[in-house]
Amino acid sequence: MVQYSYFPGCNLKTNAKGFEKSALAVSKQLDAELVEMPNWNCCGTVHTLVSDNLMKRIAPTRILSRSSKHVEMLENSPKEVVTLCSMCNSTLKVVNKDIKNDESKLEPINFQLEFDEEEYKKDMEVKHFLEILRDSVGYEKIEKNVKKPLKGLKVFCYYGCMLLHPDEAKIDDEEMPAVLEDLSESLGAEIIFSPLFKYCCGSYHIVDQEDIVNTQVQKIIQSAKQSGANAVVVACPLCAYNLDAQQKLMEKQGQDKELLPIFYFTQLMAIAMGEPININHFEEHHINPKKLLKKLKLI
Amino acid sequence: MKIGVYVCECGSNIASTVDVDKIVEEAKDLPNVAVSRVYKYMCSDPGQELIKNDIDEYDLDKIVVAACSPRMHEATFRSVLEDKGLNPYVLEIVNIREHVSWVNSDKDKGTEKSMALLTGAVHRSALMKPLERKKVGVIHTALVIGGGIAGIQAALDIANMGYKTTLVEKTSSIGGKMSQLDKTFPTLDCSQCILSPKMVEVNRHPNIKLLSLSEVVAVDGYVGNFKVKIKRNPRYVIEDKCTLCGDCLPVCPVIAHDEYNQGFSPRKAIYISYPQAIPASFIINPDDCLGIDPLICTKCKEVCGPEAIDFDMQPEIIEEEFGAIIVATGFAPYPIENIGEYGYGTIHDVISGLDYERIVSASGPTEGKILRPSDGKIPETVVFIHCAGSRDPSKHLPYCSKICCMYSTKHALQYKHIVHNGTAINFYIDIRTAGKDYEEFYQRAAEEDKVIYIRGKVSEVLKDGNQILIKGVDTLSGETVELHADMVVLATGITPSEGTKEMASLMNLAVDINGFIREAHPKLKPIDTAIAGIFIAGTATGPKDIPDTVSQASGAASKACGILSQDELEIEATVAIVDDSLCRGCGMCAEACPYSAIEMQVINQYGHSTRIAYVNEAMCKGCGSCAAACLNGAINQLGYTDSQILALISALGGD
Repeated sequence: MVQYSYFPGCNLKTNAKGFEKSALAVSKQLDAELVEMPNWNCCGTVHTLVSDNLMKRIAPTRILSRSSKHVEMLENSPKEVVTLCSMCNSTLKVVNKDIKNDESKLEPINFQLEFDEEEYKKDMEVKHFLEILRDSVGYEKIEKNVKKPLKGLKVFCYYGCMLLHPDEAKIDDEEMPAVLEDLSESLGAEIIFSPLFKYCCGSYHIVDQEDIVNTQVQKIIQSAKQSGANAVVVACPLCAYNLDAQQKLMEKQGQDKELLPIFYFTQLMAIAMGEPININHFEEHHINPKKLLKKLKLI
Repeated sequence: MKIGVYVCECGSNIASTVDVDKIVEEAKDLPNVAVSRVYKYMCSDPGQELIKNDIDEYDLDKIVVAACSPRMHEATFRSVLEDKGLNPYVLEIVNIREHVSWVNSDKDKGTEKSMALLTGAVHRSALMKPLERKKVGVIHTALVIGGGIAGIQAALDIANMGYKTTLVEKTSSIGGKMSQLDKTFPTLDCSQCILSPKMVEVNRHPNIKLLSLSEVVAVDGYVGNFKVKIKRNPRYVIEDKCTLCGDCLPVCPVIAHDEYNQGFSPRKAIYISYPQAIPASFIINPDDCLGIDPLICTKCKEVCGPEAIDFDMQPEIIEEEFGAIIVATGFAPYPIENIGEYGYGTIHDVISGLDYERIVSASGPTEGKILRPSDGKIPETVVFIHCAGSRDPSKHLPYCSKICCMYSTKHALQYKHIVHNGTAINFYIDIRTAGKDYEEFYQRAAEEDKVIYIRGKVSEVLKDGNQILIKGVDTLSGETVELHADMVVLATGITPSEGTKEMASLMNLAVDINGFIREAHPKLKPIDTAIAGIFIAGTATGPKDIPDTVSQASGAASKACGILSQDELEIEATVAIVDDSLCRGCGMCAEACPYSAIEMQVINQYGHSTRIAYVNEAMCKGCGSCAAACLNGAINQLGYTDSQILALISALGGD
């Protein structure tokens, strides 16, 4: 059994509860338990990426420092902080690399952290849960834990941007990634390739220019359907929200009737590995995935 | 000892910021100075006469000239000394133009610095000794490495000037990349048609010895006297006996990818890479053949009428001596497998420029019909992406490969000539048509043949069903572009070939940051390397088109003949010399030497065998790196000995 210091971030506690709960459940089954770190704060999100202002990097550095202490209390825990959200992963990785390479940046941040009785010692690595599954757990072990192979599920693996960019934060090859495909395959699902697997979902434009998101999502879903997919698997809460909510909107406007349910990769794992269905919080999805799962006799 | 000091005014170049009269006067008081004079132009005939007269009149035995850089007129003044029977190496030049007057406007300070330099020079001059120029013999044969168009041209030129030449080619045939091309820009003449006459000429030229399937494995020696080891790999077919009848082809049971056709067609394990190949003989590829161990298969041997097949051939090492070497080892296209944004070479219908050359060639796998690899259909829309992997310092090659704009334009034009209703789209960053008739060729493609040009880079190429999705930007309109094509041709750039890298490391040739062999001077010595007697031609030094390659090859041939035509070569006298009694054999000098001129030898000395440094004077360039590195002061550079330099320094210090 290995325990990992897990940093949730805001989305996982609000509109992606199913993502977190399914992840925690399967992590236990795979002997790679995610244990929530105490006293965490916002990852710092987009602020850290658009500015070189060190103030903006205090939040992520404090997480790294606290996680480092948390690791000491866990069982067989490597010096790694694990994230589920693509944005948190990207933010923490970028900042971690940046301050590790530049002592002059870390020094003033650590000076500020003294008020919290924290000091970051450059001893942590940031890992996305997908990296843990691929590199530490291994697909073989996942395959062994599959109780109900996802037969009939034709998944289009959608990456979006933050898992693959920027260069310091990418978890796989930015041009032709394979981690989601390999994982889904080990769960028994059929992989459907569509060229728009990293096409932008519209991202934060959902806040001010919804029409942009609408156009993007339409293209992505159209292309996936043409390729023969009946479900989409994602890793990012924002991608999930955009793809999910916009499809529902299109249905309401009468543009589209055939909707593709959106799954987090951990939800697919939970189903395949026989976890109770309610941990997925499918009731919070705009498109109810249960319909498809019932049709395929997976629940 | 009598030293003559001569100060040049160089018109006003020196005199305006140096008080020449003052330093001439002060120089008279320096030790051993017999005469000190100033003249307006020391390098002119009257200036030289002045020195000559003084040598006679004052019986001078050392000369110090304070003028411009020794790079300008050292040779001039040395010949003055030689004319008067003095050794040319007892001349010292003080550079008071580039080092003083041109870089300084304060006359007092300029005068002071000039005087200090002149004082140092006079002190050093007193310690200078006559030096002997040595001579070495020359072997009158040349070695050309690489049998592409550069090597072919260089070998032919040397051979036609009457010197024996050995042409070494790694593969089974000469011809290089040019033999794979269909047509050449901007004239659209057939590449093979202009190349093969030269290949045939190589084959029958009495002065050329062609070694195919051969590699240079060791190079020793120096200009005029290179000792080279060449490894000849077995062909398993006796060249002289093979009649190219082809009886072996139908019986050979092995099918492999044909490298000449970029893997788009099959070949047997016994094959000839293309009909015009030189040497005109079949070859058995030992990696494919079942029968190199003849117990398994001897089918070809059984049917071969002239009994040309010999499974027992072994690699052999040939040792030969050459006077000059030309490196023409060429390029390799940048691999499309490196370009992730265009699919890492995994998308079937995304091909490289060289792939396209074979597809469009009448002798290629499709016999000149343009068919795409995935399903053999005629593509209705073809996108040509310029700078694929070039001009991209963050991920790929930082430089421009020079030929891609033109060959992509040629490709698009050829496509339009064959598929009249098709659409050819070129994505480009800039169109660079710097060559004779190149711009006109581009205009013709865009205007007459309606090839579409979009200025902008393609960000992604993705498989989309049977088609290919291209996402890019039109930087003239600022719009993003998304379109579908049936085939994509990537204009991949030029990188140094494996052979180029191997030869550079084997011969200690300097390479640039991209791995191309570095010229001795980028502008004024573009054909020389830092090693005397080794010249470069073609794309081994960087991207070049065919005309440039051929011109450089002819240049290299003429440079090589400049050496081959001598009976003896004079070597510079200012070489390093080892004091055997001081050398302790640490080898730091050998490491410091950029020209590989020093090797460690074991000699018998005082009844013991000791390791000491040995300087090959023919290879030494007199740079002084070894003398600076030697901790014991055991290596001295003649003409710049430690005692001379120390005398100069202490005089500069006002001592």
